[in-house]
Amino acid sequence: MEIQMSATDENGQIDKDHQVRAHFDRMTRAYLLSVLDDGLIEEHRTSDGAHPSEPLARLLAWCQRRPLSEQYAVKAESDGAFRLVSISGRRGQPPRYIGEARYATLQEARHGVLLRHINDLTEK
Amino acid sequence: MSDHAPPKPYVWRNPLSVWGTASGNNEAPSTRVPDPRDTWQKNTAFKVATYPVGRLKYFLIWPHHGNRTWDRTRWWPTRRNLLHVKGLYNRKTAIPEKKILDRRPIYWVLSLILLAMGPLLFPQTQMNALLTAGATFGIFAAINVCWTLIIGTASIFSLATYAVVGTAAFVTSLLSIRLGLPWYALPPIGACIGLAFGVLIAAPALRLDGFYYALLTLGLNELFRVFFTTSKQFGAASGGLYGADSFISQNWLPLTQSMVAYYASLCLLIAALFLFRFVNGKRLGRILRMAPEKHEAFAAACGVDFKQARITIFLLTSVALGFIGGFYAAQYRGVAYSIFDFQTVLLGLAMITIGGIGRAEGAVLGTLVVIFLRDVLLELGPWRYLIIGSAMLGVVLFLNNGYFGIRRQFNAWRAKKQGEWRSTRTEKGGETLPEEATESNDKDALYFRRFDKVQRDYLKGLITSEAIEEHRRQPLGQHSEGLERILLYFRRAKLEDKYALHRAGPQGPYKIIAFSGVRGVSPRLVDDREFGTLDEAYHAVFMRRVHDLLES
Repeated sequence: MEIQMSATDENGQIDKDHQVRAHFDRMTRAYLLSVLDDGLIEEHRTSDGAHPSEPLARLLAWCQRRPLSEQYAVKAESDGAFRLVSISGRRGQPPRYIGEARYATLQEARHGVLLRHINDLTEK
Repeated sequence: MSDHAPPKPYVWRNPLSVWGTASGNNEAPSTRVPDPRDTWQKNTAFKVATYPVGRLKYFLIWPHHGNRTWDRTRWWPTRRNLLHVKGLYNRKTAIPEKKILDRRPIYWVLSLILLAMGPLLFPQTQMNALLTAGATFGIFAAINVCWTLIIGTASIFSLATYAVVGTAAFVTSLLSIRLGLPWYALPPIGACIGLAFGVLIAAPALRLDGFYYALLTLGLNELFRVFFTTSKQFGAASGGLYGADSFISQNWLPLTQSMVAYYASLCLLIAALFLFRFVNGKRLGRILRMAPEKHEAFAAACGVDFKQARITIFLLTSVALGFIGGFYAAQYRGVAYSIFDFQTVLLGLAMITIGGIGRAEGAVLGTLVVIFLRDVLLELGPWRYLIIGSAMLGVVLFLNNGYFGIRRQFNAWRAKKQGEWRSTRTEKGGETLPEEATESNDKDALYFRRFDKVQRDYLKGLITSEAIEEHRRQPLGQHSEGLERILLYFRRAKLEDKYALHRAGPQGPYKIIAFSGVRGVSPRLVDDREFGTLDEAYHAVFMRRVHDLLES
């Protein structure tokens, strides 16, 4: 996550909010890495998403809280398939495709998004 | 405990552990939490037979707007409404509408119009027989409406009704024959004779109980029969007394004569119905509805002068019966002895029993059924009386109050069955049953009870030894999901009977108390156990709540 520890405001003061957020995010990621396993991913793949377990709910909440430039979206193609796009986070700059994978259903595509997020989580 | 499969064990990792928890509660053996929707679906699916519920009452409802919702047509010049109409806003749609709560006047008008149109509907071949039977029906129905006023409204078990009619008819016929009185003088004279007769037999009614009074009046009936049949003046030899003046001219065509008789007796019936309406539906009737049989002492203690009301009704009705006697003589040019027969009394009893005692519609319908069987279905021969007898027996055996009591009887039976069905549903568990739900206006309360029931069922499955052990180790702080759900439910409980801790000294010990839930009323001590530390006390409260949850 690109939260700069030395982010400053217009007066050159260090923004301590950013520091706190970065710290919080680091702690959350540490927790998520401790609970992340194949069972969690399998649960997301098979469930209908209505009643996730506590660790999965926390993982999904973390994914949704990420900044816009790190978010993924699902794009419906004209042939009925779904592809993943990454949102630029800047006005006027269009989203770009992520990978070549084409998903047959929306649920599969959403699971693909989660896998991307997990990928980001484990790589950090 | 509910029938949940025990959730699978797993190790719960505290999300706060990465921050370093003070108590070192980094992980705990716990259970996976099942989907609450499963419990919800299991609870809302009915496992017993269900029946259509609600109030099966149909009203004529029509929409209105503005002032028309509250407009009423009234009987001029009174403020009495034409119909018992209620204007209201529909609870569901909020649309103003009008309901007729009492539809009996409509049915009466329709039935009387049907009777008035009778001659148009009768088949030509049987026209004369039907018109004659119709005239008999009108007179008998008028007599029975008066009789039902005596037996039903006044609760005086008099069997002398036909004796009053017969005496008035005989005396007026004799006067008409001997003195040449015109036909229009006969009914008023009959009314005077009825009044005299009423005064004569009203006195014993105050002193004798139902059965003895019935015997007395039956005896009077026989006495008059014997007197009139043996008296030479009253034409003992000819089977009756005939030759009085009549409003039906003998020069008319036979069909015209029958037609006039039919409509005249129909008018008599309508007059009798008005009498019934104005006696039974007004002050006298209301007084006596407060003093039914066997509850007279209570009514008297309340200041209801039921005796005077009964005698007033009796005298009024005797006048009316005497009038009918005079009318009878004027219509048939005289009267036969058969009016005093015991058979006539029994047939009359059958008429008012079949329809239901105490109701004008019962008396009229009973008369219609019996007269139709007796005078129209002649080809059935003696079987007619057997059918009348069995109809009467059936009514007495199976119905509480004649044909017109069927509806109330059915409603009572249905309420009884509903109660039985409710009691078969032992798995109710605090939830409102559909039958009760229709009677409650607060649907929020209904939904809350359902939600609470399902919630409790769900939480019962989450109470495991792991959860209890986890709570024992650390009553406060972050817990696994299952335990958190249980604790949230406990915290949300109503203040009434909610547990709390009472600290005896600055450092303890602690005792469990329960709030009263009422301002100004102190909490009560739940048990005498003392707890050395706060955590022990918290856990004891938790165990108490778990116990209450599993008991519920």
